[in-house]
Amino acid sequence: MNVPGFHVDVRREVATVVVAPHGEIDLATVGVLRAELDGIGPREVLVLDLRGVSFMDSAGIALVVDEHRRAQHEGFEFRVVAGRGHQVRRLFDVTGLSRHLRFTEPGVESTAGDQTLA
Amino acid sequence: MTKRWRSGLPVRYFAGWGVGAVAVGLLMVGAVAAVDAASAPGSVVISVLVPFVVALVAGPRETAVVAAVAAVLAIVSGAWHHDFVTEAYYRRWIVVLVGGGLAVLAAAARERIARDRERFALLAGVAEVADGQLTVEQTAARVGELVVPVLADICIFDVVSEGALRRLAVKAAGLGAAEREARLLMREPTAPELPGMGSVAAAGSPQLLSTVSDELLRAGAHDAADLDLLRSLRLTASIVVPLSSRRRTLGALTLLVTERSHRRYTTEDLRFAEVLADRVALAFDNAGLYTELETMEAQLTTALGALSEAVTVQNPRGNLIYANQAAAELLGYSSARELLATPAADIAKQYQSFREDGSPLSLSDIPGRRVLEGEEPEPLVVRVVDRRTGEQRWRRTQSSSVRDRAGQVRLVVNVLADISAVKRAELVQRLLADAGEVLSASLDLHDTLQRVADICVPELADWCAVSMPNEHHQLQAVAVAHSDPDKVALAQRLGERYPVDLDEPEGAARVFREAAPTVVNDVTDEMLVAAASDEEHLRVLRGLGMRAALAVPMTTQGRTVGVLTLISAESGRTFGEEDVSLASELAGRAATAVDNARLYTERSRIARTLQASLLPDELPPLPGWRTASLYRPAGDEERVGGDFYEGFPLGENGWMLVVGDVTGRGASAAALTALMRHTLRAIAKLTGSAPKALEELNRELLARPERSLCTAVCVVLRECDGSAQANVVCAGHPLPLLVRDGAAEYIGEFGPMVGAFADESWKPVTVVLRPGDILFLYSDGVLDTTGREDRFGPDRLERALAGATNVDDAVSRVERALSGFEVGAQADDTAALAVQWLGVPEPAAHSGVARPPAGSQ
Repeated sequence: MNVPGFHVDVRREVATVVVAPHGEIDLATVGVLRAELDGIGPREVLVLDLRGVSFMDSAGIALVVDEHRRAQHEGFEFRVVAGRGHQVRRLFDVTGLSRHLRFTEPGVESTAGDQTLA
Repeated sequence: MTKRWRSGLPVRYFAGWGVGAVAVGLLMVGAVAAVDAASAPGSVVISVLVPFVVALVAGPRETAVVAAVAAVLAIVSGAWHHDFVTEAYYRRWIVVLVGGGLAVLAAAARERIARDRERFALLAGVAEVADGQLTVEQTAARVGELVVPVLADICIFDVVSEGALRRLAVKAAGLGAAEREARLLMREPTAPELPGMGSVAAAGSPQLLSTVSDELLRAGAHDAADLDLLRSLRLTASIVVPLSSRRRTLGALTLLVTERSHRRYTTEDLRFAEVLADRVALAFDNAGLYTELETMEAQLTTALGALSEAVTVQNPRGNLIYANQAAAELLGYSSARELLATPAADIAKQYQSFREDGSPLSLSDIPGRRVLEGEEPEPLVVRVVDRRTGEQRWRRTQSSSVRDRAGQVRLVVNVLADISAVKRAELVQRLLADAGEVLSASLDLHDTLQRVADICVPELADWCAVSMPNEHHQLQAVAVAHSDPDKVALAQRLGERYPVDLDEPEGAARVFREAAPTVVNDVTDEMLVAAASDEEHLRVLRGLGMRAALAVPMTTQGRTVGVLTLISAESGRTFGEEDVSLASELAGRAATAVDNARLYTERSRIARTLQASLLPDELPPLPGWRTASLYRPAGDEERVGGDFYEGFPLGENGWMLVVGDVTGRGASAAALTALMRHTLRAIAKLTGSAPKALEELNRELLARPERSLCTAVCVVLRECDGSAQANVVCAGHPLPLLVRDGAAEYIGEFGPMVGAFADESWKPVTVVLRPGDILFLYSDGVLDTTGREDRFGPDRLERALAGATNVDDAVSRVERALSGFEVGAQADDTAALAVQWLGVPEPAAHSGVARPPAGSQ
């Protein structure tokens, strides 16, 4: 699957997998990101780095909710780097997800970096 | 000339000795006759004259013998002249001796002159041979005839071929020449007749053997039989000279003389042999080039003959001078000979030729002709129809010129290829692509079928009609295409005005009923009469000049939805098996397109119905309040969005207005929307509380097996004793706005979205309203509307609402702002609801704004 203007970088550091989509996450692109996430093998920590995301809609929110549930179900840590994108950060507040997700700063992928946006 | 040379030497040889014998006899007679001293001067005259006479007709050798006899006679003549040791005796003796010597010199000079003349003639002969267009073999044979016996008794030509010396020709003179030639020709090519001979060709230096010893023969012989052969030649001398031209050694020329001619070779002969060899080499070289050319031509002919591509060659006058078998077959002839024997005009007359665009081909289009006019034309693709069989083929003709040094066109080479299969594949491919396009994009059934009809013309037929059954139990043409634009209207009228009854026994109706193709390759007038429904119809049918017709059913998934009819008229072509299968394929795809178009129509009808069912037809009247709504479906009509708005009374607890959005699309989103609306309405009515309704909805959504998310903004409006308030609850939804005195501001608090996490709770924010206050509720589609560079966003919404004086104004401001901002089709629905508290009792009112799908204009 290939959507112009959208791509996903995946990098693995030992048991930590960082998935960094770039572009807009909406109905048209969410499938690409979902396929990447589904293709990740065993991991202890999954970081969804949204710094490269300029826009996200409810399709992206649904994906984050799904990944959050998967983390709880499979027992891995799920963290989100919300980045500085106003719309994306705001969306987490609007939907109330910011109170449930673990946010982390870029490069700090240990539990010591825990913080919430709210 | 050749004949004289061939027999010249032996004749002269015997003639010489004959003359010598006669001369000696005369001398004897003279000597015996002059018995006294007085007659002595007479015998002297005879003794001197006779050798001179001999010298005139015979060689120096014969002359010398005669002169010697004369001298001896002069010496011994003292016996019968009785004048030994006298002055007269010595004088006579010296006169005869000197005279004889001079006669010999004269004979030698005369012979040399004669020989030189012969040799010059020989060279001239060889030069003549060199100018002719002969093969190397022919050249060797001719040169051999010139050389033998003038210069040699046996002449052998060896040539270098593929690095080795090959015996080319042998020429021998005299009795048994043929046998000697044959045996020498058979000798091992690389073994020379004499040692060192073979190396001449390699080393390039001439060799002269003035005597041939038996040792030499033994050294040169391969075996005993070979030695016998060499000995039988009775060789006396040999010359071997290389044949070199353009610094290449082509071979060697061997000249042999035998005891037969009593000749020996001198260095002078060697020099002449070298000169001769130069000429011969030149002749060989020319002949070799000629042969090469001939070989090349032969190879070319063979290669062209074996080519599957058809090749023809024309001369500058445009006449066909060569054609290979493939060309003959392509043009419908059994052999190239037959094709070449047919006048060009007759070949052309067999076919009706068309350019790719369907227009008739003119002579000036033909690449071969354009080459003759000095152009370098592009390959031409021509559609030809055999006038006899009606068979249609596609040909590609590429022509190029062969020019001479002056740049004049000498030959035109045409390569013709039958590309019917390729064209057919192209057509199918184009069709596939078109069908693909139809499947993915086409909305309009008529458009689709028209395109299907269009692609059949002119490649497949002169006109094409797609017919489908109408409600009157008739097959009605729904799309018609004709190669002649002037006739499209006629064909269209024909199809429209004369629908075919589905019960008709023959033709398209039968094809439709039986779902089997029909081909008629010779449309007769009787058929037209039978098919015509009235005089006018018959007149039109006759006017169309049909030659052949092909009708195939349009069948998909076992259902026949129509008939595709192809008609051949102007082109005169007929339809073959391939056409039937191609047309069937085409019809199948057209049928799929029909099916898809129907499905699409059906689906978008369902989508619209579903969406309409999700939206309230009209908000119920809220006494004391005025409402207005906006709904903009997403650009893609067929997709059912998840946005909705509604308003319902909560009894004594006032009214609840909701704008909600479910995540996802299509039927499942629609189902979720229905569940959400139902639950919110039921629980809110029951409890009068938006938070409680959301909590219950959250539980229900989390209980569903699949992830079900939704967001909503709920506003509960209450009016009591002249004051009013709004309880605003946001569940994962953008905040609503309050427009008061022309200023817009966001109100409420973010609450969690519904269906994501368990045990969530929501807290209402209460806003006390003033008369004229406007609340504006909307879905995220508003904020997410895509513009040229960014999204509409909350700031633009705030600005758009600023200054709104009533709900209609508020909605239309937002609508205008969105219309002005958006670029392209929008991905999401947009729903918005505005409500204004009037503050004074007044009949409730609502106005809705509905817009066509965003981006569809």
